[in-house]
Amino acid sequence: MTALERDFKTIYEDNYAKVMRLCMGYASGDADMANDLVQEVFIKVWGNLSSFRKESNITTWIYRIAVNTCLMNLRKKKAKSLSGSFSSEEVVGQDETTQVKERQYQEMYRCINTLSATNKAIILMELEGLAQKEIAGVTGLKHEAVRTRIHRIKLQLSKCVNHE
Amino acid sequence: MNDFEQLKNNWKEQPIQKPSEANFDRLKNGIVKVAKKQRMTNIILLGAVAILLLFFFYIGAMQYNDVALALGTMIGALVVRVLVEFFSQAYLKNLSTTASMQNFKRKLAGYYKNRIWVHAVLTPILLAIYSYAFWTLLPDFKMSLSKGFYNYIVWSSIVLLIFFSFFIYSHIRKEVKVLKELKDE
Repeated sequence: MTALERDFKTIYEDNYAKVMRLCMGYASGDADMANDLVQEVFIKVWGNLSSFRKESNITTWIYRIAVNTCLMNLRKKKAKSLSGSFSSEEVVGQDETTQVKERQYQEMYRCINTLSATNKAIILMELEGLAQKEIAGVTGLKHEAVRTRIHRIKLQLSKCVNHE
Repeated sequence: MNDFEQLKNNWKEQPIQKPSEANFDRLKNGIVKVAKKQRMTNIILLGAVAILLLFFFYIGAMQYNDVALALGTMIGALVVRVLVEFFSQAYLKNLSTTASMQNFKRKLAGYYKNRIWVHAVLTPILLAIYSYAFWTLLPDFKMSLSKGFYNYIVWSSIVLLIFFSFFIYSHIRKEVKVLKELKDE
């Protein structure tokens, strides 16, 4: 294994969960689609790794690739019902707490899905705990604009989860 | 705890599996497959154009001038459409995903605008040229083919034309929808 391949493996292991959650948000909880997106994101990470300049933040760089790859695949997104993400077999075999949790996830994806492509990216990174300055770096928006948007999106999401 | 904080907690608690060695191996295979697929696409495209050109010269060599012209027009229309598709896909693949989202979105929106033009303007023009050339061949078909086979060719072409028109329409709708989603702020 070359040094570049070793670096790539470390990047993959460190960022897999973050990228997966972001892709799940774009795929409205469709795990199969999210898996395909994650695969595509890391193929692009590998393709661009040799040109990555270490002075910038690797997480910001990966988020840029992830968000742009998800945008590129908007066309492939199926209009599916969220309940389709969990098979009836799975639901039957689960205890009540797990079922409640899964209903909450479905509701969460439904509300995120009501946002525009840009707002979706912003809030998915905010949910991951990324600093607003870094979100601005990924999106190319000004820091102030990101702050205002996050405030607005939070209100919109809170209204959505309360069915207002 | 407010609703957004609850959402944030749920977000982090999502059951995401840790990446295994098998996941990483699948990824490595995926990287190899992408390069192979690109090579295969180029080979298939060049092969298809070469076969169509050889066929055209073969017909041309038989000196059926009107037939050769009509077939050449049909082949030309197909080649133009295939090349447009090839370059369109190449443009999409080469878009830099390391750019900022706003920049990337602008370029992606430009790509979809171009796709809508291809589907709504260029493809119907090429389809009309193709259909006209095919129509000029019908008298020759009528003379040289049995009545049953001739009817089959005419009716199957009409069915194909209708199917293709719906296909174009559905693509335009899909791409307009994506463009709208990209433009929504």
